[in-house]
Amino acid sequence: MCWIEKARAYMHWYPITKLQFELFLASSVNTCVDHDSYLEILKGNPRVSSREVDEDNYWQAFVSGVLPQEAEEYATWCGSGYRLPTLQDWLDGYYELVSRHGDVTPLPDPLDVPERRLELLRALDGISPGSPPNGAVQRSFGSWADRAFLRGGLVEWVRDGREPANWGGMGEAHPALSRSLTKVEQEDPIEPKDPHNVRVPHFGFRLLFAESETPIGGSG
Amino acid sequence: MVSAVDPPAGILCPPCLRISRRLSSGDCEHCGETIPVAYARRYSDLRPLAVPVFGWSGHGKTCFLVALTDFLARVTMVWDDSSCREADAVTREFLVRGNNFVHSGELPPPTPESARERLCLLMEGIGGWGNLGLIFEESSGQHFHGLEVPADHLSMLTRSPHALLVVSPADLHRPDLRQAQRRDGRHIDMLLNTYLDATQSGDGASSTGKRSLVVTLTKADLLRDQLPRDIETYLIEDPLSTLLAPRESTFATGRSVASRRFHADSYLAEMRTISSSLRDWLSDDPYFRGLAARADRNSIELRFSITSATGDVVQEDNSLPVLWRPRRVLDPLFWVLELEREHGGLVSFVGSMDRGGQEGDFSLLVQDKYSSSGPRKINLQSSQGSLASITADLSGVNFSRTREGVHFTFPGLTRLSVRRESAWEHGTGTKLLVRAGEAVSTGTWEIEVRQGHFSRILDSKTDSKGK
Repeated sequence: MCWIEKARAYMHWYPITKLQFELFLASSVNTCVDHDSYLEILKGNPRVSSREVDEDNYWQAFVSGVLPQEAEEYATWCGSGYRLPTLQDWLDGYYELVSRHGDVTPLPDPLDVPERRLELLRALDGISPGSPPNGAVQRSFGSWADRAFLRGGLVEWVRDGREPANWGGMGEAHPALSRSLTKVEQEDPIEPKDPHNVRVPHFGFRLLFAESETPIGGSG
Repeated sequence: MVSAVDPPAGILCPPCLRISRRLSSGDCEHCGETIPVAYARRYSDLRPLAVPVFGWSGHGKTCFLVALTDFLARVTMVWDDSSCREADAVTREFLVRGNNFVHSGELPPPTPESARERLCLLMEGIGGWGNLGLIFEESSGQHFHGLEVPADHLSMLTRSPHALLVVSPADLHRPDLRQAQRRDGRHIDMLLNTYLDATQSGDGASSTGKRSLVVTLTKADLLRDQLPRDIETYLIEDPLSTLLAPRESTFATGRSVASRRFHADSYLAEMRTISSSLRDWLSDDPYFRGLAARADRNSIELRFSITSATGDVVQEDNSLPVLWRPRRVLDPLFWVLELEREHGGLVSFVGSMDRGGQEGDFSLLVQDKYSSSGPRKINLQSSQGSLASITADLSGVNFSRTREGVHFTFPGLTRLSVRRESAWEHGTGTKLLVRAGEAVSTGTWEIEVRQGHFSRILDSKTDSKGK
């Protein structure tokens, strides 16, 4: 995770991976995603082994096709302080990372399990941010926002400030998942036609953690 | 002088693009189809503009028209004093269906083979283009699969100096996407051949004016990883996509769309640059090179636009999981408007012609298409000898006589009162010729003369000729 000053919260460094999500699925808390639903989720963006993650398939490591209520239930499972970002949170994170110079050392999510998860993280860390995704037109790939796959990964769920929330998607998905003609800087979320019922294969999510107002470590 | 401008007696029929008398039935005297009441009522204040849309089925013509008309319906977000309304029930039905598609993320079904979408929109205050009576006609793409297109599907295509040639490069160059097309082996130049065949025969052969085609590339979302960067950026950064996004959008971004201003001049400048880029990009395709060369030989000007009606790739099951976010769908229309402006565009279809108080007098209602672009030099001639004098109902209209005719400038809709030196000769086929600008556009009225006076207008047409 990395600290986003404007949001006064930590943001997951990567979108939630299938490994993380499957732990949630196996827990007793999960009431929304059954076996069949998960198989349907995997259809749009199949699994990839941690050992085989490379520049041509890394987006398959992330869970996508999840409905916003399922993502919210995942956040609840993660514990107090975890939540899905608002549009503004997400943009704060993006602009902070895209303009940050020097090193950024993401902090581990305390909920992460070792071994396979770390193996996956190492593989994702190894994706060269200087190279555009396979088949994509060369653009400014190489900022910390790109390393964190805020671009080139998935479109990620964000909510507006209303209650109940309206849902949209931010980010530029890898062209293998979607060729949406969008750009983050336009600050206009992609709107799914029926967010609570229709799975969008390129929509994933990451969480914010803001239990404490005080950073729990340095990043950058 | 005439003190006021009366509504013109003749009217351009949207279906057949001929000047028709105003019949009590409201039908066109030539083709018998009903002229939309709202269009007829406001005809004297608007400039009719026909935009035929042709291309193969499956290449996105209907989606493009849905996105285009959906944007036009909200055009007041771009130009404060502008408005858009449908002129008839058919157009209203199309807008309603289109609105449902855009806001539900559904896709329209293909246009049935026998069907033809003809839409009539009345637009006011659109940039520097004034008030428009826009007439779109989309023929079923099935007709263009063969070599011969039914004549009744071509009347607008052959009579209009402009048309949109709609083609999806992804569907031509990625045969994995459309199995049927791989078998067909169609090339982009075949569409031009069909167009040439249509316009150089029958009804179209009588029109010698310069023609232009806006090559409208659709489904740009499918091309995202193939496009040169400048074109990709142009597509994505469409300011109108945000300004004209559906207002029914539920997501509250907290930002005011109204604060985002639209700069038409810079938009059009970019559009011109991208047209050249698209031409360069397409030049790698041998069939496109053939199309360009053939267009040139036939004096057809080409302009290029690239659009995405949905802004996202339609999935294999023909569904779209997100709401439409069209990109650059107004460009082809802007091109038609700009081409008209470039060609000098006197208008066309001026309308009425009445007998004056004395033998040999007549009045003529003429309208400059681009009244907002300032006075334009006009030259009026008659095939029946010289005109003695000419007056207009607007002050500031200056006249001068030369051997070639009477020259004058006028700033907009004007009724001209003209005195001839002698009575008109009896008969039909007398022509009045009006040239606009640098003699690049002419309007011709063919009239019938009875007993020394005008009887009626037989036909009217505008030709745009290259300099």
